[in-house]
Amino acid sequence: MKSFIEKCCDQCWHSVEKPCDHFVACCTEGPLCHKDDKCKEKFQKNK
Amino acid sequence: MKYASHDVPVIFIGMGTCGLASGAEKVKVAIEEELKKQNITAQIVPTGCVGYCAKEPIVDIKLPGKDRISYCEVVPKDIPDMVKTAIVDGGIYKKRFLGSYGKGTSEVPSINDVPFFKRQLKVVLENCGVINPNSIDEYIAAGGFKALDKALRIMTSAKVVQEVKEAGLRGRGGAGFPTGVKWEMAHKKTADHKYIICNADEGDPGAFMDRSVLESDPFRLIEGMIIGAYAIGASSGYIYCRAEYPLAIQRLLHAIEKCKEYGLLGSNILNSGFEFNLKIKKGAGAFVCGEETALIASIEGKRGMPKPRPPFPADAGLWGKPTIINNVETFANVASLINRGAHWFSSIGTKSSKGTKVFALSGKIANSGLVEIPMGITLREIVFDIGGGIPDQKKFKAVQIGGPSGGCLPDSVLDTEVDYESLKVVGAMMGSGGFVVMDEDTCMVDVAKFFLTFIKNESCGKCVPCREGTKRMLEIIERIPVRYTSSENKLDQLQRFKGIMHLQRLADVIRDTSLCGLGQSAPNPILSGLRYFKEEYEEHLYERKCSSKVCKPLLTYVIDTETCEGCGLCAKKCAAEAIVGDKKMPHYIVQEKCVKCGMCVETCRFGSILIN
Repeated sequence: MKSFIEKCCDQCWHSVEKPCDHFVACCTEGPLCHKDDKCKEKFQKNK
Repeated sequence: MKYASHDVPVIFIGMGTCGLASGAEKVKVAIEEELKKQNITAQIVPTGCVGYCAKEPIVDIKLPGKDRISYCEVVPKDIPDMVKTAIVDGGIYKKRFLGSYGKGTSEVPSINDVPFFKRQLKVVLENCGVINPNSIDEYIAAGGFKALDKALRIMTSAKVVQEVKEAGLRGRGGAGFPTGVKWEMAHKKTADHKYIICNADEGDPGAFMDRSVLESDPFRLIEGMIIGAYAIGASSGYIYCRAEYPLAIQRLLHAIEKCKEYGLLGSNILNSGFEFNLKIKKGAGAFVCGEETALIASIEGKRGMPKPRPPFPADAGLWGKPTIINNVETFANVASLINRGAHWFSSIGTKSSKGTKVFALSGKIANSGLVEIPMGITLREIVFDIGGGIPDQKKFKAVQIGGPSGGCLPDSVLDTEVDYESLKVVGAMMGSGGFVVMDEDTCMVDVAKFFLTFIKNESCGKCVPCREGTKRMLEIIERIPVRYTSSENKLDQLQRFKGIMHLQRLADVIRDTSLCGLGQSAPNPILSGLRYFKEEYEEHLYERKCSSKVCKPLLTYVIDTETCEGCGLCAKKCAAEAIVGDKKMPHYIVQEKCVKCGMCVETCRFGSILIN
């Protein structure tokens, strides 16, 4: 995950066509829609 | 903060216009070569301007798990030692040390203890020089778009307007109109389309605040504009930026594309149903296009000329639709205001002027650059505590605030607080933030001439008082230092006195009858000059003298026969052939022929040319 727009896993569905309301909060505190330590690590590393 | 968890050294290089002009590109190349030579893996991050332009190029180094350390005035030949000391050995490269972004110790002081930064309060500039302006991820990691998220998810558009109103944010472009009141007018209007425009047509001589924000933190402006658009119900926006700012435009274009890619511009932003699209309109550099009705005309493809108001743009602006125009700094305040709330914002500043103000320090000042101060601190604190005073042990003479429409303030009013009302009382204005410091070598008549020339050239010509009045005022000022020869008509000398007698009245007429702010404030440089530097005007008029030795017609060049060696170099260089004398004998200047070009002073190796 090199940038916040990349999906952490298949469960992330944010896109320009189908935006997630929590996208901004998810970037810094994510993932918010599911629990996954690997995903959390990816976000933290990018942060 | 981004890079906190990185396991390789990160090197930040200030690459705003000031950094690039000081050689940041060469420093970057030198760093890249040295890293390659020493086989070091590190990340190089270009940043914008941290504000301390006088100390560019600025390079910060952050080692994994350690504080970010800032170095200033770095040159390519420093790099081998710097890389070894600060990266390989993990120490401090003391030769160029500026400060630490950490808490700071007696050995490694914090950057916030550097006098230039100590009195500053960074709200608008908090990311400038700190993050990569081309990285939306860095902006988000630094808390970016949280305010937009809050506005769209938690607040109604009316609540956003209310918050801005309660905060007391006033337009930072010059006039200081309450932003919330302006937004409320457009919010209440019913229309099929509304517009929001950012005025980035920064035209004041000596002003570079907006450029620096655009180059160093473009996402902050965009976030402020999206929130503003949501508040008033606009679905389209323009950033009107002068074409002379190519780097700013390049970074803005990149930022707009990134926002679209992340779903922060376009339709259904963050699934809120709100749509907003943003475009850049390049301005051709006309000063008058900073006036909002002229700016709108320019976007519409018409000649940039102001229109009488009402109707105000909030009622009928771009293409006849309700339009809000704010400048870069105003929009750049919005995200912090929404994030931290109206109460926090209004707790900074004075009773009538809330928040912070960014000033561009330039002229005869030790620490030139960009500063952000809480409203209410004094001009003296800016000049001497932050700006470091006047270089070369010269005396302070005046500070010009508010651009060409502002005023020149002397030492006697330097204890005035930075506040919209207080500055008006002393004959200046907040303006957009130009802060030009002048020392004892500056001639105030010459300064008035400079600003009047600027205003006359930039007058659009639509209204007679400004078009003709500024021209006549300039003629009067230009006549002051002219030295008439005895053969010329004495009437010219009479005209000089007559002009001065009429100057005040002419200034009043221009101020009261011009169509737009440019004309209405055009006489300010003259009025403040006559108010505070009357003796200097009188000296020019009656004694025919310019103590600052600036007004060339009033100067007399003579050769000191005691020290002149008769080398003849000055005579050779004198284009007017005004210098005569035999070889190895003292030379003389024929005053009737002398054109006061000053070439002889520059040429003489013995300091024998005296200026009286």
